[in-house]
This record gives sequence, structure tokens and C-alpha cells, in this order.
Amino acid sequence: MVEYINPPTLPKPSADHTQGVIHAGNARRLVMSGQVGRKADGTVLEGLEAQTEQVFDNIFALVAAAGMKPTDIIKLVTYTTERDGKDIIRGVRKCKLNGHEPASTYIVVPALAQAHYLIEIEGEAVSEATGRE
Amino acid sequence: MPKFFNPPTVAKPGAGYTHGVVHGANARRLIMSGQVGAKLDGTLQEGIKAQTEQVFDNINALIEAAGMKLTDLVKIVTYTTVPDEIAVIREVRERKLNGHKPASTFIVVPRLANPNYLIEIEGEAISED
Repeated sequence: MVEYINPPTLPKPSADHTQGVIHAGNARRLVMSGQVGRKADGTVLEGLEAQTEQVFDNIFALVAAAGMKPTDIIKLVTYTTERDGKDIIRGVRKCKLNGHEPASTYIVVPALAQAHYLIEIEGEAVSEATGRE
Repeated sequence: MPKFFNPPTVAKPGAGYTHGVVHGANARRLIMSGQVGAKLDGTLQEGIKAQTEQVFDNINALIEAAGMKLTDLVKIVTYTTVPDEIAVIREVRERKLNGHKPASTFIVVPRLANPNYLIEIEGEAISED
């Protein structure tokens, strides 16, 4: 059982995430490369909102391909080149994650691998079930 | 107990950290969200030193809430918007970690989630059965 904790000894998370996630070692663990706003056909979407939506679609596709569920995502690290993009990104994340709140870190960076990438999110998922549901 | 090591084939760490940490798979693992210099009541500490101290207090509180010890901390990633204060950050880190040296990465970034955040540290802890 993966445990999500927001201890009373820490400030409450400023957005929809959890301060800590604990899992056992005898679990399947998916490590995800940083996902960008690129569709399966290679097209890069325009604008922060569309790119962020695509990032989550890519993450979900990766999670599904690993035989896992979006609720198995335990950690996300968001890198964005948009200094004031926080509200847009949080809005998309909240909508896409639908109440699921992984441990999260958020960083603004000067550039990503390609000049037109506005956001990249990497993370990991863990499934502790012994078989697929 | 995870094994912290600095191989003789890699240049010595520049500060209080360890190049590598090895742990077994029969362990409990705590993933921590990036911690900032906000107190329990939500107030943000002022200045890089006070924010860094608060970050480590938050990390310690999270580790304790997970039923772990500070020495279970195996990795930290530090993001700061203050490029020239690494000496202050290292001093606080070494004092708060009290000789414990997790694997570490340090990055200067133009901004964090809130323009008043000067530092954010995320990481993970492992307790082996």
C-alpha cells in the first residue's frame, strides 16, 4: 500500500500535491523520462496550456503501457520556461490528475532541450499490487 | 542501512555530500515534495539562511512523520534562485544534517513556484528492514 502523507508538523501544500509518499521496496517502479508537449506524430503543440495537456497525456500513455494507472504516479518534477505559468500548469494538472496528488517539485528554467518546449515533466510511478487488476 | 560511498576513482566531493548511495530493494522509500522556507503557519522566512534552515526543519519533520531518521536521507536536490550563496546553504546543510552526507545535486534556477522562494530542496529517504 502506497501511503500519502501531509504531516501536521509541516505547512500545508500550496497546491494539489502531497508532501511525502512512502512505498515498500517490493514494488514495480516506473521511471519516466521528461515528457514534453509533443504528440505521437511528432508535432509540438503551441502554447503552455496545450503543451501541458499533452505532457499529461504522454505521462498517462506511458503509465498505461507499463500496466499501471494514473493513481500509481507518486512523484512529478515540473520544469517550465514560463515564469508566470504556474496557474495554467496547476489548472491542467488538477484537471488531468482528477484528485490524485503526487509528491511534487516545481522549477522555472531558462531553456529546455528545444527552444519551443515550454514545459517538461518527469516523474515516477509505483504499483505494489502483485498482479494486474 | 544504505551504504554511502565515495569511490577513489572519482574526485572528492566539494562539500558535505557523498557521491553514491547503495540500498537494497527490501526497503521503505519516502519521496519528498520540494520543501520551501515556509513555516507551519504558512509564513515564509526571510533571507536565504533562514529559508534554508526552515527547509531542513521541514525535511526533518517529514522524515519523522514517515517513521524514519535523518540518517535515512539518501538523496537531495537543491534548487536556489540565489547564485552566490552556496557557502551559506552548505553551512546550514552541514549543521542541520549533523555529519550525515546524502547524495546531492545543486542547481541555480531563475525562479521557483513563488517569486519569494529563494530555495527548494526535494529528496528521498530509505529505511531498510
